Amino acid sequence: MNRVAAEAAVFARSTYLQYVALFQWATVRGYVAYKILLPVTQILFFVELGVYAAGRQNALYFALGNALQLTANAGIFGVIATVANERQFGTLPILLGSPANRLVTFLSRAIVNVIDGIATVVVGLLVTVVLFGLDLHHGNLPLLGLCVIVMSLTTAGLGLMFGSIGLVTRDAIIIANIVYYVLLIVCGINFPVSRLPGAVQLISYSLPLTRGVQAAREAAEGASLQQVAGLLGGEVLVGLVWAFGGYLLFRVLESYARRGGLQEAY
Amino acid sequence: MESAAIEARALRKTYVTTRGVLRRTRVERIALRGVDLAIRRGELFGLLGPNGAGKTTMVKIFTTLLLPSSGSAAILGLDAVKDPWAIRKRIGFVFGGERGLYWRLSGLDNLRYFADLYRIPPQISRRRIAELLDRLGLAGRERDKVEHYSRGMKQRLHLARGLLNDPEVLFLDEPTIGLDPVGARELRLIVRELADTGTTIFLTTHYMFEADAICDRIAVIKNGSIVAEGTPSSIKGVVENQGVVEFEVVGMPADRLVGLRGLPGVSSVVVSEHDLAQVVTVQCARPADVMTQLGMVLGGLTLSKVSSREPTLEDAYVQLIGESL
Repeated sequence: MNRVAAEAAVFARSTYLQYVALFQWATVRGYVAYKILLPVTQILFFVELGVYAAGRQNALYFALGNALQLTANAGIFGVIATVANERQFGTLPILLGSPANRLVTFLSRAIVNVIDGIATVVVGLLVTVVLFGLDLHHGNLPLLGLCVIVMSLTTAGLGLMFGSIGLVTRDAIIIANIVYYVLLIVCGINFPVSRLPGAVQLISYSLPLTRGVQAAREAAEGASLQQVAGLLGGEVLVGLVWAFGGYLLFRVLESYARRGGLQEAY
Repeated sequence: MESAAIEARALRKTYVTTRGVLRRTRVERIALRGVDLAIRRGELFGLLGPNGAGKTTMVKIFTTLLLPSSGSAAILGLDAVKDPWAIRKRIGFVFGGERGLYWRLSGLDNLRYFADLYRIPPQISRRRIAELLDRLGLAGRERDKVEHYSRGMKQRLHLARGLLNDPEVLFLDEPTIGLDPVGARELRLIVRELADTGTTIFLTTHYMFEADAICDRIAVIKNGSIVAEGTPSSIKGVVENQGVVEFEVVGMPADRLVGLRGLPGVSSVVVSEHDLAQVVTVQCARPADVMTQLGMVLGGLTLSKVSSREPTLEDAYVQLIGESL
């Protein structure tokens, strides 16, 4: 038991240290700017755009969708930036030349972004409640919380996949931007997935967030766990596939980087 | 028989890149051309060579960060391609320069983090970090963020990081690059002390005096091939029976250089910039003859500080590399 506790303490310390080391938002000012002001402006922008296009009665749809999409902010940007920043700081060769277990290292880097994602969504939901009158009195709050946790995990899974590419390219942040905006378009954030062309809907349902956002919207209206279990189960499955694929890709690209000596290119 | 600490056999590395946007062409660049090397345990071995000669490529292969194209590399008897995990636990490596540290963390937190990466038990890492901070002169500043460290302190922190796992073999890739003379000398003393305590050290540098001062044995690499290997004094033998003529001149024309190189007995002429003047170093078999002919070849130019001296290891290096600095 002591050994488990010691291992957990080391894991927690590593997770904390790499978070402070790698992210510019790991300060009070940085956090307020990146994790509060930036997300709030995104919500305001899309709500205003949505109200202009679809009327004031739909404001809540846009506000809730964009608040939930903030899970991707941490899951995608956070995880992808982890590898990109290691490369930028010149610490990637040290990491890859160490005997550290890759799975543990990977999990340590993902988990902090999951926690970060949950915190960001809470901020987004508070903004939605205060500014747009989201009424959660009849909502299933525990279930909504579960949906947020699940989406934070699944988007981090997607982040692992694209973060791996950072092992062999210096332009991982561009990839993060593309993935983030694709999610914004195809995952039912600002308009229902059913409005998208059939082929694009296939992409929607192969990505995290789509089912999670749908489940969360229903939870906000009071749905029970049984009613959204299928959606949440699907969301978890999709996230696991991306995370597992991300881990495999990391190992493959680590080997590829070893062949080409690409760890130091920045 | 005990295996060598570091061994390379016919080690080759070719980098393949592409050029162009629409019509992409494959470009191959050979970094190592069949290198053979064996370094004994406890030895401080220096690898010298100009930029792009293949020094860092060799270090990357030995530290398991890069796969060779062919040939073999072994560390402590373990194959660098097949047994990277076993090797990583037993080696340390330090690359020169300021990158490779987390600047937002303190020096202490950097070491804690890297100790965790190497899975060093906390009770051992605490003691080891304290020892290293003390030994490398960082005690008292360990809680400052690395961004407030001088370049010399960062380099010492790099070294502390490389020593966290008490490595049997330590790779130092140009560790004194960019350091001021005092900082560089301090670091060299530390490296020598480490070697004296039994750590095998593989040091790359392009500072000849550095290798001369601390290495047991050196090799000179040029265009991916080892061109000389031995003790510093045996390498100096390359320029045995030779002398050096040096002088300063302002505005040395290229055609005069050609004339100088064509004098009988001259093996190399190196020109280095020194403020507004150029320092010309001529390696030759008969320095007295060359000095008498300087006026003929360089007529019209004002020479100063003309002198003749015995060759140094640096002269041997220049002779081996055969390039004009």
